Amino acid sequence: MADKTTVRIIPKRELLAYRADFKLRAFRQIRKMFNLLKGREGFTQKDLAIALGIDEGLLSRRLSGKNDMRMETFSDLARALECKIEVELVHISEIERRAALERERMNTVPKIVFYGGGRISGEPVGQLAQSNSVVVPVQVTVA
Amino acid sequence: MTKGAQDWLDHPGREFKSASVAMAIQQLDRFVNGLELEDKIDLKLLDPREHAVWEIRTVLVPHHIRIFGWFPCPKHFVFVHAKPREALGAYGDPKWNRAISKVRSMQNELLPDLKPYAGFSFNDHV
Repeated sequence: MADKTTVRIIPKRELLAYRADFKLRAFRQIRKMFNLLKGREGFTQKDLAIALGIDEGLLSRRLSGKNDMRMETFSDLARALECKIEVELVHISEIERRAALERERMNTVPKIVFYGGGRISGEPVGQLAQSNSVVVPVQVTVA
Repeated sequence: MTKGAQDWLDHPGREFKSASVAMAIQQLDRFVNGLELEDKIDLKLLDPREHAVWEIRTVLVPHHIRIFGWFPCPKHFVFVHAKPREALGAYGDPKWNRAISKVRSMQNELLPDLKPYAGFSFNDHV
């Protein structure tokens, strides 16, 4: 347990980012397995809906990411896909170490390209090594 | 990152929910990091297709966000603007046309001589 004097209050924004990442990874796994079974065994969305005893429309909204999913829903879907969700807590430093190794292995360079002064810069200046690029050229207008 | 984009990320405006913005950032991160994204789930080429305007979508978290932009070349997405999905109305609503036009204007302004990348398949883009 960390010393109380060193406890850092985690910003809400950071917590939300972690939640979003967690949900996305679980969602990806479910979709990946569903697509695999669909291609290999002809498993359909209807089969999955029947297995779970839910409306096919609702399942479709869940599988397309239109509806939010709670832990229970992920668990139910995993079960219906004959899978089990494995949970492993990995320290952030270890995740970063693995990511650095992966970047080294792929020999990637930062590719967030930033735009300024009327032209798109060709110089990648992002902090992380990435394989795709997002060019952010303009001020995003919000009302 | 430009001040404008950073401003949106820092202060997206009240019509954008924090959890949705967090999801939008994660989707952008996934794209930038080359992680798996699916056609029509995470990214979608909008009609009319010849305009080559794409949206990056948030998923799961309610109050979805659409990030509009285009691909000037493979694996390079130009992020032009973002809108809450709810603010766009039904698909085909004039608001969609305005969102698409904004990207088209930016295509002409930034890269007038470069035709947007069309590719042959979804995987050519990501």
